[in-house]
Order: sequence, then structure tokens, then C-alpha cells
Amino acid sequence: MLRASGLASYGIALAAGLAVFALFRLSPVQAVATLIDGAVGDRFAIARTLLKATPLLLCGLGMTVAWRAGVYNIGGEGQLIAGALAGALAFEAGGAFAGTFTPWLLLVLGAFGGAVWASLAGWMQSYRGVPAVITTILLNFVMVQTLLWLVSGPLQDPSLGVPLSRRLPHDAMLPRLDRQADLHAGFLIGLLLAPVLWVILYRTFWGLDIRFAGSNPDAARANRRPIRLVQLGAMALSGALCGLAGGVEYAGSLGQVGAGISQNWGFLAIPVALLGGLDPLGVVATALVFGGLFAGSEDLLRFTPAGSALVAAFQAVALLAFVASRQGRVKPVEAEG
Amino acid sequence: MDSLLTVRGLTKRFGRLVALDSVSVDFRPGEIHAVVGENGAGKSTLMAHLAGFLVPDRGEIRLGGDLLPAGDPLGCRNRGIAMVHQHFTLVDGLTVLENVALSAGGRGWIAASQLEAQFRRLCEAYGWELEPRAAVASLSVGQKQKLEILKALWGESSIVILDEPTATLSETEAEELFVLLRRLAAEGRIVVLIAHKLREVLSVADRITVLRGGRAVRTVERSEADERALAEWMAGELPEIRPGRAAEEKPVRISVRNLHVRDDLGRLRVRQVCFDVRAGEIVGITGVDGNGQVELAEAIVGIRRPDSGQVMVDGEPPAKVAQSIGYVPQDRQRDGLSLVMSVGDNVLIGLRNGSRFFRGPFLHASSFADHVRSLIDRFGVRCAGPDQTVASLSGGNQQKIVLARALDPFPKVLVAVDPTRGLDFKATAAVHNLLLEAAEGGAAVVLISGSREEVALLANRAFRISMGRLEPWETAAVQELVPC
Repeated sequence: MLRASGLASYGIALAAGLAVFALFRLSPVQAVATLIDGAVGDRFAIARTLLKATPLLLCGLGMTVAWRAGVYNIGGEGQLIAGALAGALAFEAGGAFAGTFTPWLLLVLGAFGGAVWASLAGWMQSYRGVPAVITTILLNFVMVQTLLWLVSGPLQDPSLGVPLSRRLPHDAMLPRLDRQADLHAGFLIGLLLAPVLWVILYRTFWGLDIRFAGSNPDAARANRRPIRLVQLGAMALSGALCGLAGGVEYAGSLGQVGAGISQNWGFLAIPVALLGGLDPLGVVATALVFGGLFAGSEDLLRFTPAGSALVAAFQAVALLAFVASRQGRVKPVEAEG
Repeated sequence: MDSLLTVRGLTKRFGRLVALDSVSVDFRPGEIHAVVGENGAGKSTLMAHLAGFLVPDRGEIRLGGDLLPAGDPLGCRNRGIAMVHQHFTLVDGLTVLENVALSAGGRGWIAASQLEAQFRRLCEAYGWELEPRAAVASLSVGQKQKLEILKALWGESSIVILDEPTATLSETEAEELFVLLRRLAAEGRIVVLIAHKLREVLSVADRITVLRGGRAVRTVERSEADERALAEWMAGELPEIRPGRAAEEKPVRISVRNLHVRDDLGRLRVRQVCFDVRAGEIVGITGVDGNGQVELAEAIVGIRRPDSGQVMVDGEPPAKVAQSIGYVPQDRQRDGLSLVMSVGDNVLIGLRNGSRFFRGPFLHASSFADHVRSLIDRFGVRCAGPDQTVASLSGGNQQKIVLARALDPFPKVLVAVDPTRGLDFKATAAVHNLLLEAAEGGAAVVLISGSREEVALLANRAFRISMGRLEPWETAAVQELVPC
């Protein structure tokens, strides 16, 4: 969770980001006003922030559970895509079925797809000794290419000239919380899952096993805990959460799958999780902050002379400054004792 | 080169533990001087002072009349004192020559050709065949040992300290090493040798200093000592092994038959071990570290698969009856505890029969916290409460958590490896009482300990472990080896 001294990092991040504007002779004052207005200025802005925070929150929770178990999952991006594709493939295969149960089925399929994809890397780490850091990065490439192939081939909507899948009918989408900002029930799912994950981590034996496996695998072994199985399970849950994020983006925000199904959410989830102290409740806070940054940035693009490249540079510098100033605050997770 | 190394009144305390107690020794040029003693006798602490790693509380070390710079390892190195550590300090990924360059130090460019010429001269002088451009990873253990010594000799060292150099060597390699050590001494150097294997010490050393409990008990010429005398000086008066009492009639809990176990690197560490432990009995196994103790313990508790042979606990493989086996691993910080986690979590992870603290899959946090508090009271752990991080506790209190976990509820089988390592007198006595209590409560206890005193004090029967084999311990009054 945010602590008083941690607030300084937000100031530093903002200052560093605004320096980018000053560098290009744009008013930092105007920029910061626009940013804040775009993030929390009105109902619409807040809804946009929550919308952006949703995939970050779900993937951030996913990263949290894997990293806590000592499995360094870098593959949130691939798992998110796997989740979205699982839903889209089922939708196509089922002949574009639609009903009130459809969006929820798409979410379940998404979680399942992500879990399967992550378990591949989990199995390789637990039973073949290949670190997940390596396999998940590689599997990201595989999944991104699979996505590009599917949406420009088997999954492409024949009526469209662009690589996008068939659009979900309106009643196959998640319920909307705010029609104007497209805010959907996915955010509530993330908000609900955070405390659930907290209970799993801190109040169940599996959670204890996960935390032990991550902080001292030797001790877990000496206490005769099934560490490999625990880590594989944590990886599957991690993938399920990321895949769920994919399902939520598909059935909540976008309604179709294309090359842009993920705005790097799976990668951004890593700093979200680490800065959240690898604690589910902390992740909620950092996901909201990151969501606000991205929502506010859209207004920067819309209402200031800054181009998209400059806004991207602003985001990058602000994030780097944030991460760097919080360096000592990230909870150490010892891989090996 | 010919100057005396004198240690006078060296005293070093770590907290309440007196590691060295006014130790005085002379090391003479041209001699191989062995330092022997049990685990914790102060050997390594003494060496660390000689090499400048530690600053003594009292006393001084002089080389040829000049005071050595305490706490300045580089300064000591520059005065010609070199240390060969027990564990290799080599970088596997680099070449032999790069490793030499790394230890020789310097800055800027590496004068590779000059270095190599010097390296070849040294190798030639000692008749070694070491390829300077070979990767260290490709060297045998014996070759690595030579490389370590070569690094130590680099730069005209007049004093070479070796900490258990034969621990990882084969007999032939060890013999070669001794030839080399004799030569180094003959060239006028002081060779200080820490060793455990008394036979080796007696074959190679000119003089022997015995440490016990931080004191230099005596320094003798080789001719004045034999194995039995050294062992007695090292251990002091050994209490009699207590007779097997009524353990005979009780059922056999642990049965080990023809056990062979390999370590993680595939080396056979436990060979043909057979023994039984009955309920209510403490079987002690003592020996020098690294002779297969850890692998044996791990096989008995079921976390290491035997290479061949078998372990049975109450007629079942140990992995199946983990609930009835308490385990106190040797290295509490590596294998026992997760230091970043709380006292409560560390108790919970090893909890046997813990279902009463769960409602379905969920932990009932408050009733478990009460339980942890009661354990804290019962075992006298000094801590703020169940939520305190283990890292902030003292070693003795950390060990009490490991013990509390292993002993609550009393297990049918208890395997404890060096359960009192690093503990002070009072904590040690408390642990000893707990082990006796566990046995009286009907547990079959395997006590594996580097402290022969501890084994003699507690065990009903005892074995010595050496190179992975068990042999009956000579001083034990009651012996019975189960024939295989």
C-alpha cells in the first residue's frame, strides 16, 4: 500500500516526466493540469482511469502470485493474448453464439487459456529445470506471432479488410458500468480478486507454500513441502489471472481481437506488481496510479500540442523515475537461499 | 623470509561466545604446523586473525617482530601471508590464467604474456601440469586445489595457511599435496594446516597445536602425539556413553538397510549404511563435516531419494509418513527457516497435524496465533510475537523455532543435525533436554552431530561416520552394528 514516504516517488516521477515537456518548450503547468484533469478530473476521466487500470490490475495480481512463488513470470503479455484468443477461437468455433452467459464463458475460457500457456513454462521450470524467466519471454514471441497469424487468417472477420476478428454482438459483452467511458464489469472482477488472492496467499496452506517456495525453497524442501507442484500451481494461477485480463479486454473493452489486443499490459504489470510490494492490495493501488497515468496521457495527446511520441516519452520517463526512486522500497524476494 | 610468526594472548569474543581465549602459539619458518580441534574449537577464527580478516579483542600477532595490521587482509597479504580457503575461491567461467590475474590484483591492462611466463615458471618449478588457458570448470578437484595454492604462492608468500585442504581430495591427490607442502616448508616457508583427519596430521605435520573451546590446549612435536592422545586433547574428558537402558524391548522405528545416497552433484556420499533405531532411543552419529551426514539425514526424513538400499520408518517409506517425522536440519538459515517471513509462518510451514487450525482450506489466524504464542512460551523463544520476522531473532532463538516445530507435537521419529551449532551454553543445555525429553516420550532419535561431546552425552549408542560409512564409535560402551 502507499506509504507517506512513498508519495515522494510520485512527485519525483511527475517532475521527471514534466521535464520532458519543458525540454520541448511546452508548459509543464498546463501539462500537469491536463494530466490530472484527464485522470481524475470528472466522472468520465475517473472511468477511463479505472478502465486502463483493469488489465494492469489483473495481470499485476498474476505477476504477484508467480513472483511470490519464486517463478519469475515475464510472460504476462503472452498469457493475456492466449486468454483473449481462447475466447475468440471458441466464439468462432461455436458459430458466434451469444447469450447472457457468453461474456462469462469467454472470461472462463480466457483464464483457462492463460493458465495452460503459463503452465507450459511452469512445467519447464519445475520438472525440466529451465527458468521461467527465459521460457516466458520466448513464449511471448510465440504467442504474439500466433496472434498475428490468427487475426490475419483463420480468425479474421471476412467482412473486414483489416486483421481483426469478428466483433462480439452487444449482448455477448460484459455489462457496462459507464457507457460513456466503456467502463465494464472487468474492473469489479479485478477489485474482487485482489482480496481473494490476499486470502489465498496469507490464509491458506497453499499460499504459505507459495511464499515459502519464493523466499526460501531449501527450507520448503526441508519441511517436506511439494515445492515443484506448488510453483507449477502458482504459475497456472498467474497465467489464469493474465488470461482473464485478456478475456476482459476482449469481452469488456474491445469486443474483437486484433494485433492491438494488449497495450503492453502484460509487461507493465511487472512494475505494477513490484511497486505494489508483491502484495495483492498494494497492486490495486499501483494499478490505479498507472491507470491514471495512461488515462491522463490521452488528454495530453488530445488537448496539448504534444504529439504521441512526446506523450510516450513522458510516460516512459515518468515510469522510470518512479521505479528508480522506489528502488529500495521493493520487497526483496530471494530466489535462492 | 625466515621470520617467526608469533601469536600472543589472542582473545576474540562474538557476543557471549568466547571464540579464542588468550591463545599463544609460535609458527616457525620451515615447519608444517597443524592446528586441530573439534568444530567450534576456534581453528577458523585463529586463521582468520592470521590472514587479517578479524581484529582481536586482545592480544597481538607479530611477524618477525613487526605487528601485523589487524583487520587488513590486503596488508597481511602484502606481508607474505597467503590463505587457501576451505572452499575454492575460483571463477569457473574464467581461464586458469584469468583466475591468477584476478587474485594477483592490479589495474589497467592485464600483461597477459608476462603473467603467463611467470605462471609457467612457477608450474615448472613445482612440476605441475596446469594449462594456463584452460577453463577452470574443466579442471579436476586436485588441479583446482593446485591452482588455489599457486595463487597463494604468487608474489613470494612466506606463510601459507591452508584450511582443510584435503576435505575434497582423493587419497592420491592428498598425498601429492603433502609432498608439495613439505617442499614449501623446506624452502623456508611457514605452512599452517587446519585439518580434521588426525592420521593425515600425524603423517605430514612437524608440530601440532590442539585447540579446545577457544584455548590452545597444547603444542606438541609430531613424535609426542598419537591419534588417541590427539583425540583426547581435542575432546577433553569424555563422559561415558549411557547404556542402552530398556530400549531393547521397544519396537524398531527407523530401519536403515544397505543405504547408498548421492549428493546433488551425483557423488556417492553415503555408503552401505545399516542401523536400527528403537522407540525411546537416541542413536548418535558423529564425524567431521562433509562425510555424508546431511545426505544421510535427508534420506532418513525422505527428502532425498536413496541411490540404493532403503529407509523404513514404522515400516513405511519416510516420504509417506512425513507427519510423524520431526527434522532439525543442519543449516537453520538455509534449510530450516525463511528469514524474511514471520515466526508464525515459519512454524506453520513445518506444522504436523495442523488441520485443527484450518476451517476448510482457510487458516483460522487467531487460534493459530494463540498456538504460536504458547510455543514461544514453552520453548522460551525470545521474540515480540508470532508476527515478528525471523531474521531479527538471534541464532539461538531461531534454532528454538526450528526445534519447536520439530517437537510439537512430539514426533515418532526425530532427526536432528548439529542441533546446537552456534548456540551458547544455556541454549545448548535447553536443546539437550528437549532431545532427551523427546526420547523419553517414545521418539526414535537420530542425533547427527560434529560435537563428539554432545553425542557422548546424549546417545544410547553411537557411530562414527567417515567417507559416508558408519563405524562403531570406539569409546562407546554399548555397540551393536546390525549385520547386513
